Amino acid sequence: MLYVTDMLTAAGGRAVNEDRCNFVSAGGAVLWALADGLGGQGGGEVASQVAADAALTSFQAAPGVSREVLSAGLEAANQAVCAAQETEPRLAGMRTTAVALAADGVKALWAHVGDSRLYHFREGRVVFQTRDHSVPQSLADAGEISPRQIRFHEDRGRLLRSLGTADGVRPVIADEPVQVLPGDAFLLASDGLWEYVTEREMEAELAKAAHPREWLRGMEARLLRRAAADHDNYSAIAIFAAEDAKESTHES
Amino acid sequence: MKFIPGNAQHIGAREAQQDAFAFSDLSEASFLRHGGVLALVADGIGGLDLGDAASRAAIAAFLAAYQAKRPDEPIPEALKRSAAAANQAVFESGERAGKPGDIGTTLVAAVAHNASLYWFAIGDSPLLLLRDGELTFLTREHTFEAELLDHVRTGELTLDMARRHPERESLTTYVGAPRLGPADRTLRPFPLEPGDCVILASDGLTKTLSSEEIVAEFDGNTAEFCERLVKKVLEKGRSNQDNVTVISLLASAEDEVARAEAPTITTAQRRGRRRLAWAAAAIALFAGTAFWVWRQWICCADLPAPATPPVSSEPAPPSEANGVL
Repeated sequence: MLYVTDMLTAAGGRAVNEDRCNFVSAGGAVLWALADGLGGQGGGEVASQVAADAALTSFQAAPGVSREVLSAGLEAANQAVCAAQETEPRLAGMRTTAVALAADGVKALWAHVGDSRLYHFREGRVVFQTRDHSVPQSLADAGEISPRQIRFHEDRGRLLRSLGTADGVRPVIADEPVQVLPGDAFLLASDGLWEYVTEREMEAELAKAAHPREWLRGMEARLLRRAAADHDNYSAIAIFAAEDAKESTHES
Repeated sequence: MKFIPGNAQHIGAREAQQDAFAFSDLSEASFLRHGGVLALVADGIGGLDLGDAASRAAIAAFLAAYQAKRPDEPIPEALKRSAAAANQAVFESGERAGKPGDIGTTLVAAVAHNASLYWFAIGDSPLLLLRDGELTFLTREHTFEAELLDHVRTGELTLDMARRHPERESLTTYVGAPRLGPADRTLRPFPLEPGDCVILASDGLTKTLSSEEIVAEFDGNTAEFCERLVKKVLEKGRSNQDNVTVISLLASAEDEVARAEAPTITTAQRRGRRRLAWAAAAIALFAGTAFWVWRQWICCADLPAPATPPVSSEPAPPSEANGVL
């Protein structure tokens, strides 16, 4: 399988970009990671960076597409954030979300903590999206609000889980890998992006995109038309899976 | 999946109707199998006469080109080919009028095939999806605002400045230019669900009604939906209300053929003239019959009577290959 990747990250209407995204390939597999930092005066930027870096480094050392690999990666990320909290008083309260996707030539598996999302698209439609660890998502799960009301909910920023908390990391890892088919697409996104782009819009832009970059640009254009002046950092990693005779490779 | 069409149109407060629309033949089963159902809306740009001619020329050329699609031609390619034909037709009509490149129109074309939607759009006529009470703009307009947002991305402009720029709504590309410009178009199918309503319109709709107002008018019947939307636009009573055109395709999972309320599809611009032609024919027929009766029964009964009553004129048949079922 050939994975074509593109990334997008911007500060939006904020002074500092506290999102972080990156990916790495090793041992015939790829790991993509996205983190959205918050809290501690200016610590959000540090938290997301150390978390993403730690997850990618852990993967490089022991790559694979399994629950163990993803669990180890998020554990390493959490420890990195907690360690960094100790280095300066201003960083003591910093946290970060994390979402990670691992894939090889035939299958993919994902994990997340917080409200950064992963979407899986097949034949142009959303076939899976992660559930946020947030107050509005819990309200929607309990039937008190509709899923559509999660976006722009007044409690949108209230996370129920994140990396860097005292009670250890509690990621949600998919039970089983999914088989990847040529034509599949994946999107990792921070809330600054998915808040302003609906799933139908993601599908519409996907239908028009020759390359993941066009997909990201199409979604970004919609976001910029409607975002509030002080809108959040926004980030996304877009991945197209294509037929490839060789072993799994990636390009961007 | 079957698609049930609807349409409605009004001139608004303008002096001319510069919108045009059409559907391909919904009853031609062998074409539907590879070509699906095509829906088109064009909104002519420019002053009197020019915009009118441009939108009609674009629709006629696009429809003819698409209906020549071969089974092995992918739908996105057929749409692009048809758009090029439409662009050529409008450009040439501009040349003939002595204004090459000055005559133009927007164009939004959508094909519903099996359970998928494809589109090809240039300009700012919207293509919308109504699903489960949510309205989605599938296309993004080709206005200057897109270029302004590029400058926001690089930090040269603030978001606020871009949104307040006086020329942000100017069209940056249109059909009728010397060469076909960049389009908002699908490369791969967009998946549809039963119950989806696909709406093509001129911006007279979306500049007047909000998404909530549009959604509120939908109750599952597509013909009435279009009429109610046009009515709602007119009720706003805007003093310079633009032409408004709304057409739709409702996706139905049923195998049954479209219900009785599906309207006969016609180019609405022709409707008025056609009514007049039929009325003239009816009057002529009545007059001819009356004359025959008078000759036969009232006057000069021993003269030979014509075998059939004379009819002085035929109704004008629809002459343009657009929107005729």
